[in-house]
Amino acid sequence: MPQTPPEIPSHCLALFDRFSAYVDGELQGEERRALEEHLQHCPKCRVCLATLTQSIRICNQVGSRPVPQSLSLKLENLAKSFQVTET
Amino acid sequence: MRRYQDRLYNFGLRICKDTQDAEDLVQETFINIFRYLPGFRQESLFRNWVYRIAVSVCIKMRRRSKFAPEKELSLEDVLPKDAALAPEELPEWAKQPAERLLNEELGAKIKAAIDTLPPTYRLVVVLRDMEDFSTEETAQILDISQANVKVRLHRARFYIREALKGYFTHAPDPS
Repeated sequence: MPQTPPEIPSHCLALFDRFSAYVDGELQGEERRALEEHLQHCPKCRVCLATLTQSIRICNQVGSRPVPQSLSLKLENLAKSFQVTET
Repeated sequence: MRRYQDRLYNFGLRICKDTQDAEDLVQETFINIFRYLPGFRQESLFRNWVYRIAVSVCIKMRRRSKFAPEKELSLEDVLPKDAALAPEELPEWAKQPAERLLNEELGAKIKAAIDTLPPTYRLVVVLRDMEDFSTEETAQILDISQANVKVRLHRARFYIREALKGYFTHAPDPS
């Protein structure tokens, strides 16, 4: 099991677990205020948060692929066998 | 049905290791949808109901295959390994519009990172960040607590971020 890197300052480490909730707007009140205050003074945490946010945006933008026609046909036949009307 | 074909197929591609598994997942999910549709209660969202079925199929498929047992990701697993050397300036890739960065290679990198996540973490991050479900909906679909979703999501996101950092460190400057 890897050890916690000793180089991470304890106040950064204490707030690390809240970054994701902060990005989602789920951090409220005192927790939110404490994190925002810390971010003002800690460039490393600002970069960490910005790269996390960008990583989430990239995942959000991943495109989709069309359903193969062979699968689509199988599903149509399946629907017929269950007598489901296509809508 | 066509709308859910597309959605479920792409969900399958994100969750499963290969396209054949994704196709099996879609077919098995539709069999269950058709079978249980008469009992569907209108008070729950149809989309959430469909994904609940898909997740349950996915879990059954995993039990049948030779997947490794569920592993937990600890905080230490996702803490930035180079925290002491972390930059104080925003890297170029974080300044670009996300859609400009995405290409087939980066998509494959994200897929590879997701594939190496333990299954529940994989499901959580795909449902939240790729399928656009809320924390509450994801918790309902996976039948776990919202607190559990948040912890797993946080760790999965950092895991993927580390993979992307590695990719952009070795990839050409996106600017």
